[in-house]
Amino acid sequence: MTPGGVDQRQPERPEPARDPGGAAAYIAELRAAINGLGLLDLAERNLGAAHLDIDDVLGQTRKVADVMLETAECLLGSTATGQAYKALVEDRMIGLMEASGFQDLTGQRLNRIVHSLHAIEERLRLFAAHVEAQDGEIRLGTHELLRKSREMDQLLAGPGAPGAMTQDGIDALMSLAG
Amino acid sequence: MALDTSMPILVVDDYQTMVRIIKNLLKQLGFEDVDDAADGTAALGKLKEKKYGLVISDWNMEPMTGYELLRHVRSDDGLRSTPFIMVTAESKTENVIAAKKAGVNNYIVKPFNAQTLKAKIEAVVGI
Repeated sequence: MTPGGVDQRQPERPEPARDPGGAAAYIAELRAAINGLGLLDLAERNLGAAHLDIDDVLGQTRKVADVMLETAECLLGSTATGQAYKALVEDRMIGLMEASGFQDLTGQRLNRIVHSLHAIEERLRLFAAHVEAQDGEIRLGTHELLRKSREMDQLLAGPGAPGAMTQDGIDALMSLAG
Repeated sequence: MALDTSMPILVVDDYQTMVRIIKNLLKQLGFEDVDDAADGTAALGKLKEKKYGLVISDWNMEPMTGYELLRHVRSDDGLRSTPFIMVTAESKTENVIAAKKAGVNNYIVKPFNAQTLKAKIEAVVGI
């Protein structure tokens, strides 16, 4: 036991040479725990559906951005005046209000993604507890390896993260000599 | 400070909505000669074909990032003096320093407004 109270002893496992029956039972139990993870279900139903939901969210937000930009471009470029301009503005404002409904759709999709992630997390935790797992050397898949190497090449990736510099901070840094 | 609004500007971003936003803001500032490119490679092609007075580039693009584009521009005898503003959603100190060392003229954090864009353009190419 460590001072922090975490038990770091390896789980007791049977020695195959001395106890072949116990080893076979352990393997069978391990196999049952792995099957209980539902890996295929996780990959297809949870992660597969999450991919589709994220694509849909991206598509919906892109469409709304297009509506907003079209509205701005139309109004800024309009030569109409008086009542004609008022009618045009009203028509476009209704279009904007209709487009605002995207929040409902994307909210539903994001909720589903959150549920999927929770389900995956819960199953992994149960599995880890069941087999008394301890993290060893992590094997990265091709996609993760590619992303890691890309991160090394690319100094910036992804959206703004907490702790990122503000415009004022950057301006101060840019104004420094050297 | 005045701006030469006849100056051609190249906007580089792989996200078409952002290209459209920047082009509209530039139009509001009076710039009419604005081209765009979807990544650093396409931008380099355009920079070789036409003389631009300013490049406004996103950082995070594939296959060639804005940072790589900046380094290419600064190492090319014909392009090295082209004013370059970097636009990015993420801003870590080390990245800003790297961009500054690579010769960026200014740096804008997304999301930004017309006033910030105008101020940065004025600071870089204002008369």
